Parts: sequence; structure tokens; C-alpha cells
Amino acid sequence: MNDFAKDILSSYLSANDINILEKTFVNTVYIIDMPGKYPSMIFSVCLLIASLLLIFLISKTKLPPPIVIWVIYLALINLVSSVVFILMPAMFPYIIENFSELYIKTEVVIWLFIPLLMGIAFSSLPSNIFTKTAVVVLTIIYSMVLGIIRYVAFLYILAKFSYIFMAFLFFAFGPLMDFIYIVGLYSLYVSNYASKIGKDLRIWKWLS
Amino acid sequence: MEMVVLILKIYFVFVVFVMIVYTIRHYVFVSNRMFGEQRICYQDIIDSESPSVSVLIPMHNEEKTASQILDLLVEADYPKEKLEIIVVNDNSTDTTATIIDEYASKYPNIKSVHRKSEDRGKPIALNKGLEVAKGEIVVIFDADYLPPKGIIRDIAVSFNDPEVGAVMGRVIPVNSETNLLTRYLDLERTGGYQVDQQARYNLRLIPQYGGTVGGFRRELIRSLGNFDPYILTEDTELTFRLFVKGWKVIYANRVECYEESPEVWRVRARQLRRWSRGHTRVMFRYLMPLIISKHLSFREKLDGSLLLFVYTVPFILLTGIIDCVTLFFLGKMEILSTMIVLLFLGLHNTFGNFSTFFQIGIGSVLDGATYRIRILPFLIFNFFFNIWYISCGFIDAVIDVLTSRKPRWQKTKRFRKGVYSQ
Repeated sequence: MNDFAKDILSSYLSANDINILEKTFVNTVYIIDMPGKYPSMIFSVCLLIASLLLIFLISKTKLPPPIVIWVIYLALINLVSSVVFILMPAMFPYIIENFSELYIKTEVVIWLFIPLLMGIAFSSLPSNIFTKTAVVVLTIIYSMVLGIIRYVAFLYILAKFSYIFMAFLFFAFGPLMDFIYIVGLYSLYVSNYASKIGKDLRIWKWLS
Repeated sequence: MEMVVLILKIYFVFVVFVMIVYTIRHYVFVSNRMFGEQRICYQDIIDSESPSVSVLIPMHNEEKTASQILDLLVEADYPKEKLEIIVVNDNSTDTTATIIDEYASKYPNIKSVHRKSEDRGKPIALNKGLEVAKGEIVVIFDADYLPPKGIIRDIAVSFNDPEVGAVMGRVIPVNSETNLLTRYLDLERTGGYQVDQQARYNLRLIPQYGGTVGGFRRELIRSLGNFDPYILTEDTELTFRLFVKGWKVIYANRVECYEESPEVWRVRARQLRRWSRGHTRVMFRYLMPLIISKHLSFREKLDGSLLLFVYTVPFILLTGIIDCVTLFFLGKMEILSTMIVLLFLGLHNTFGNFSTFFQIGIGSVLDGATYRIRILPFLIFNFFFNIWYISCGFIDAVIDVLTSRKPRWQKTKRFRKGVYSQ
């Protein structure tokens, strides 16, 4: 995973700056370390103004409230981040190594949780255990592939556009997003299962 | 600073703990619904002695819906001499009064009651209706409901059980195909009724009387002092009042009635905020009586407490997210890497839409639904929306309690464009 990420990032950044480090979590995990970028004062102020403007403008639009609330949530995270970098940039507690560690550990926990979560969700469905297991395995594979793609994208953004977007990336596109495709794959399976059993009333005879 | 971080971390662990508790609760419900013994309600009882019934329909500016519900109730399959329909016109400014007066003059068992007061609301209208009601059993419908022919009998027959104080039927949106919001609400109702309510009834916990498509004993409610006009969720209040006094509320899953769901997000937001505000006030009032009640088992008390706190959880979640972001900027990520997964797991599980995603999935399977299950992952948008407006309602309720403020009733806007076919 890290080798793959390193290969891709090497196309855009200097390969000599990209290192793979070893960390301990559950077992040994490997993370990427590379030089990041602190935002300039002007960039931080621009982001602050852009976030405030976005919050103001979106709250005046007639977009559906769920979208408005979602955008405000994202803009607020960027707002807080820009305030931190304007007032006390030296206090920002992370470099790419820390972020990499946080991201990879979080992803490992998610991969460990997928069988548990989907096991709980599927346990109440009286369907074939092999197909259920296949969906769980498919979800883990999907999670790993998406996890790598996101990892590369996150590191690229942090290296090219500065640490100011670190919180935004983690809280908007981090673990929250993982649960969307987990629920998505679950819903696809359940939907197909419901179609299949819909014609076989014997399964639900106690309902009829 | 270390103390602040410690407090933030403890709060974070507390939020995750709350999420896990509610996830387990919903898992118990789902498992019971799929594998447990199912309690059927009383609809299959054939009784020659039907109790007298008063149907109460509070209406405020219901010109779009009034005719259809009255037409359906006129056709109700219940002995006419034992059925009265009382329509309470609660300070309407449209043509509602004219419509119900027309029906009252045409049908002898329809009575119109008019209230002319700025101080209006469903509990006040119900109290007014109870003043004139003569039936042993009172059945309530909101004006946007479409009661099927046999529903009054199905509700009334349950009162043959002398322990039953109130009965609740199942609510199904009639306009679920209108847009994304109505589809979401359809899923929410599925999880809430098909799984949640039925499982609580199976497990002899606290099924909730929902204020419409349900009924109660008239004399019982009168003896308990009618409805509190300043509680915005008179249904939840009644549920807990009955359980605390040793009465039972039962859920009848097969007693189905169609309703019109909000079709606009802002209307839904107001509805959620009102429910949250009312429910939270009920929590403040009934948590202690519930815990010390001698009529309830430990299981009932536990379920009742979790039910009372259900509108507090989004506020806890909201503060949990703020707590989480603060910890991130303080550089305390060591707690985040594992616990944040649990937090988001809990968020998705518990408050995707008041119920876990697998609860909605199972509810839909039981309903024989197929394609609608596929919008489950999009509930993420509903989830932030719910958290925000429920938290606003929670804060409203806290202010109400602290300042003795009296809330004003807000009517849910109707979207009826014609007559729904049955």
C-alpha cells in the first residue's frame, strides 16, 4: 500500500523526500513521511474569508437544508483551521508523519471493524452465509482500494496546498466516508435479497 | 490545560459509550423482530359488543385535507350508533370551519366544535373535544390521515384487555414517491414502526403512543387531568403518564393508516424541532417518576429511560463532534485513531435516521420493499440535518424549563394537491 502510494506520489514530488516509516499498532504498520507545507499568512487569511463568505452565502440560498448544513460543517472546520494558522501556526500539532499515522491507524481500525459491523448487520438476515461473507470480503477490498486512493490524494494535498486542509480532509473525507460505502454495499445486498425472497412467502409465513 | 484535555477525552469516551448503548438497543430490536416470538395484537378477536367510540380530529387550517378524512370516516366499518366523529376546528382562518359544518349538517354522527382563541394547539383542541366526547374509547386522527374502513374496530377491540390504556397503530406515508425527503421519511417510518415499535411490544417494553392512528380510554384520560396544553408532544407525555400509573400501551402493527409526510425540508425541520422540544420536556418531567414507579419492571424502566433520552442523543453527538475537532487541534490524536471510528460507527448506526441502518434494512425486508433500501447510504445528509434541528429543539426545551417559557404550537404544513385514492 505504502509502496504504491510512494510510486504515485513520486510522479509529482521528489522521490528522495518520501520515506516509509514503521510504526507499532495492533501489529506493525507502515506509513509515509514526506515534507509538508505550512500555509502563508495570506493564504490562511484568504481561506478564513472564503469560509466566512461561504457560510454566509450558503445560508442565504434556497438549497435544501441538509446540503446547507453539510457545507457549513465543512466550512467551519476550514474556518477553525485557518484561525489556528493565522494566530498560532507554530502551535499546529501535526506534520505529515503524524497525519499519516493517524490516517493509517484509523483505516486499520475500520478494516478490523468491517467484519464486526457487517456481521452484526447481516446476522439478522436469514440468508446464505457464504454470500454474506463474500460481501464482507468485497467491502474490505473496496475499503482498502479506496483507502489507498484517498491516502495518496490526502498526502498530495497536504504537500502541495499546505497543512491547513488537514482537519478538513480528516473530518470530511476520513472515517465518516468509510461508513457510506459500508452502508451502501449492505443496502445493495439487502435490496437484492429482498427481491429474491419476495416471491417466496414460505420464509415469512409467520407474517402472513 | 491537561485538565481540559482530560475532560475532553472523558467526554469523548462518554459519547462513544452512549452510541454503543443505543446501537446495542437497536440490535436487540432487530434480532427480536427477526428471530423472536412475535406478539400479535387483538384484531383477530371477534366481539359482538363493540364499545362506543369518539373519533377526535383536531384541525387548524385543514381545508386541503378535511373533506377526504371525513369522507373516509363516514364509510368506516363500525356500528353507526356507537360512533361519533368530533371535528375540533382550532381557530382556523381558512374554509375549514365551513367544510366541517357542512359535514356536521349532513351526517348526524359528525359534530363540529369551534375554538376561537389565539392560544391554540393540538393538546388544547383535544381537551376541547374530550369535553363533548361521549364514547368509552377515544380514537385520534390528524387531519392529513387516510383511515381505512376497519381501523376503528381494530383499535377499539384492543380495549377488551382491561390493562390497556392506549393503543397505537402503524403510520405509513402515502406520498413516499414524491421526492428524496419523503423517501427518507418512508424509510424512517419503516425502521420506527415495523421494527422498533413491534419489537418493544414483543419484548413487553415501552411501545409509544404516537398521538394519531391510536386511541385511549376517555375516562382514564379525564381522570388523569386531560392533556397538558404546553407540552408539544402530548403523545409521548401520555405514553409515560400511562406506564408510570401502571397502564399499558400496546402496538398494533397491522392497524395501518396512511399519512402525508412533509415534502419540504424546512417543514420537516420545524416538525423535528417541535418533536425534540416536546419530547425533551417530557423527559425532564417523567424521568424520575419512571425510575421510581412501582408498576414497571427493570426492563421497562431501562427502555423507557433510553426512549426518554432519544432526543438528547443528537445533542450529545453534536457536542461530541465539537469535542473531537477540539482534540484534533490540541494534538491529542492518540485517542482519535480508534475511538473516532467508534464514534462514526455509532453516528451511522444510531442516528442515520433515528434507527440503525440495519434496522431500516430489516424493516424494509419485512415490508417486502426492494429498491428503496438502496437509498440507505444517502441518509448521511439526513443525519447532519437531524442532529442540528433536534439539538435546536433540545436547547429550546432546556430554556423552556429554566425560564418557565410556554411554547407555542406550530402546525405542520400540508401539501395535499388532490384526493388520494385508497
